[in-house]
Order: sequence, then structure tokens, then C-alpha cells
Amino acid sequence: MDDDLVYVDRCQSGETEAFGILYDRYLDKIYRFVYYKTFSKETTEDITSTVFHKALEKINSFASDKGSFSSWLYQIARNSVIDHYRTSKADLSLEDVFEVGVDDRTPETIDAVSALKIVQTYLESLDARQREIITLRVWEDKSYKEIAEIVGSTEAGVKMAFSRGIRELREKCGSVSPWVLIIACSLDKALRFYDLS
Amino acid sequence: MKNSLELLLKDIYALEPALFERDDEVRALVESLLLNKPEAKVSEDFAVGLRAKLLTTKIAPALPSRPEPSPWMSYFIPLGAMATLLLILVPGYLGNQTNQDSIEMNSPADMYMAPEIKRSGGGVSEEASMMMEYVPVQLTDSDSLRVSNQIPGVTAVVDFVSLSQSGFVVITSNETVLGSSYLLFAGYSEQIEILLSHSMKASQIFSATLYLDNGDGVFDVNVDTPIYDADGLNFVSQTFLVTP
Repeated sequence: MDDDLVYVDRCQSGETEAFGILYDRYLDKIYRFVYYKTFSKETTEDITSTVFHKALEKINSFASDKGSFSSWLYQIARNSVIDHYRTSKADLSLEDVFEVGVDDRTPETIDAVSALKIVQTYLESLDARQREIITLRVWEDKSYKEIAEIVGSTEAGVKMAFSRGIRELREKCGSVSPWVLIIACSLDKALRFYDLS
Repeated sequence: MKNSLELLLKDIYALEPALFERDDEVRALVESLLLNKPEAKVSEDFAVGLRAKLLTTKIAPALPSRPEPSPWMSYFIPLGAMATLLLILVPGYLGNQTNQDSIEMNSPADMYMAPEIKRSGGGVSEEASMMMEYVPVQLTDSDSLRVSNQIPGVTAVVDFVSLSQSGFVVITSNETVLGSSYLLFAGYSEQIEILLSHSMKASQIFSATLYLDNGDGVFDVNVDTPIYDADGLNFVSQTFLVTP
């Protein structure tokens, strides 16, 4: 969003209120981005709070010639998630970050839909990078260019990781009948894997 | 959702045409992914509370931007360094000839050390004293870093890093990695805190080295590679001392 820069300029001139506009624009997006990596409401709130505080603190170091404000903010969020787990759990790699939130979910509801669980298990079986790219593309509807800026890769690299991820998922899900998947997906949303707290 | 599904499928088949032969499976898979998007709703209290906190925060004033170094600097810096060296060596040499009683030179290294540093050595090791004297010239190339002497503890703070590509700052001691920064993106970063696996104690010496990320965003000493300086001979690295 190009007019982000107008508000960034105003922030850089010391106008804190302008940051409120950027906050309103990006709160939901950043919250979801973090949530898809942690699957815990409390952790997501902590990290989202950190992201916006860091962004406000470092707003003067943002340079529009190095990328969009949106990508910059997502990069802060991505690093904050890594930071969060590195600080709380020593030696935790990015690969493990996705797994940490599993404990915070509600297994009893997940178990209720076995086919759905299979899909989730397969998604979790992908490597962290593929998983991140697939969730950004499918759930966040980000373009390959935006994803490349967020994950620090090239557009071609992101496309390759995305298509490989889908291919791997298809191979792993191949034994599950498409009808089972569709029936599983048509069940009530409350049975899906998200934090019910 | 139907539009998203069709767009994604179009995308996927463009990237992997072979998957089209399994259209029913791929379609069911992508549809299930779309339908299983977790609901992540921001609570009203959280959104309002955080907004209020942020808007009461004062934005830090902008730091003066670092001017682009002039190409002439590549000539002036070595010349300046040579002039400084001459200023140190010539009086030292003359002083050695004329005032041998007043300043004792025990080793060639002493000639490079200011007398006040030598005398204040007291409780600090000789190696540590030399470290205090060692202030590397900051390269004006895009890959550089600066780290000041640190205080004891488990966190090292790097003053600034300038990277031409995404990478990490890695803290080592005797070639053992003690900690690495989070992924730093190309450009200028400052005040980077690095959590170490072992506590730093007074008089110990550590190194901070720049590494290039292999693209996965996570530091792995076996995969990521150190960044070399402009001459391609040495890593972009700086040693630092822990002072009490």
C-alpha cells in the first residue's frame, strides 16, 4: 500500500498519531501471521505487541528504497517469532517453531475429525520454509513477490518452494480419498484446528 | 473462496503442469487448506489496549543518516593510517634513543602501545591490554560491523552491522559458536542483542563474525558461510574484550 509511506513519513517526523493509522491497517494481518506460526492466543498477543513496539521504536530506520513498509513489518514479525522461541527455549530452530504451538491446541477437537487431522499432520510434515510459504500464499493471499520480501528469498525461489510443497502434500495425501477431504472440510468450523479459548 | 481456489489451482498447474493429471486430488487438497484456514480473531480489548500503549510512546528522534563515503576515502584512509603510524613510530623511536631511562621498552609490541595503557595494565592480562589498544579501522564496504568491549553476562550487544545480503552476526570463542543474531536483512542494523550459550566473564576475549544466510533464515554453522572482507583474505570479524 503506497500511501503507507505518507504515514511513515509523518511518524518519522515525530507524529505518533500517524502510527495509529498503520497499526489499524496491519494489526489483523500481523496477528494472523504470528498466529499461524504459534497457534496460541497468548503467545500471539505477546509477539504482536512486541512487533508494533519494535516497529514504532525503529520507524526512523525504515528506508522506503529497501522495500515496502508492509514487508518491513512482516520481517520484524518473523524475527520476533524466532526471537521469542529462541529466548524461551534454547537451541530451538525455526524448524521447531511451528511445532511448539501444537501443545496449545485442543487435541480432543482435532481428533474428532480424523481426515482433517491427516491434512494437518501432512502440513506439519513439510519443512518450515515450505509451510510458511504455503500458509502465506493460501491463507494470507500474498503474492509471490510479497512472500519473497517477507521470507528473504527470490520470487522464483518462493514459487519453486510453493509448488514443491503442494506436490509433496499431494503425494502424502494421495492415499486419502478427495471425498474424505471434502467431507472433513465441510464439517463445522468449530471442529477445525484453532484455539477455542 | 471459489475464486481463490481457481486462482491457486491455475498457479499450481502453471508451476507444476504434471499435477493437472491429478486434478481431483489437488483440488480437494487446496480446497481443504482453504477451508481449514484457522480463525485468528484479534480481541477488542487487546487491540484497543495495545493501540493506547503505542500512541502514548514517543517516537525516538531520527539519527543522522550515514553519508555515502566518497570514492576519495579509499585513498585517504590508507594515507591517514600511514601518517598516524609514522606519528606514533617516529617520536617513539626518537624517545627510545634519547630517553631510555624514562620509558622501558620490553618488546617490539611495547613500541606500539601508549605508555598510559601499559601502566594501567595492573589487574588485566597482557592479552587483554593489547585488546584495549586494538581498535580496527571500520571498512566503508557494505559488509562491516562494530562491537565495543562488553560487560560480563550472557548477552553481547553489537553496535552496528552493515550487510550487502541477509546474514547473521555470530559470537565465537576459540572457534566455538556461543550465539548468533536473528536474521539480519541487507542494510544497516544497530544495537543487535545476541543471547549466548555461556556467560562472558571479565578479561575473556570473543569474536563477532559476519555470516551469510543460505536462504533458510536460521543460522547453522555447517551451512552458512562467513563473509570475507573486500580483499577476500579475512572474515569480516572483530574481537572484543569483556571488561568488569
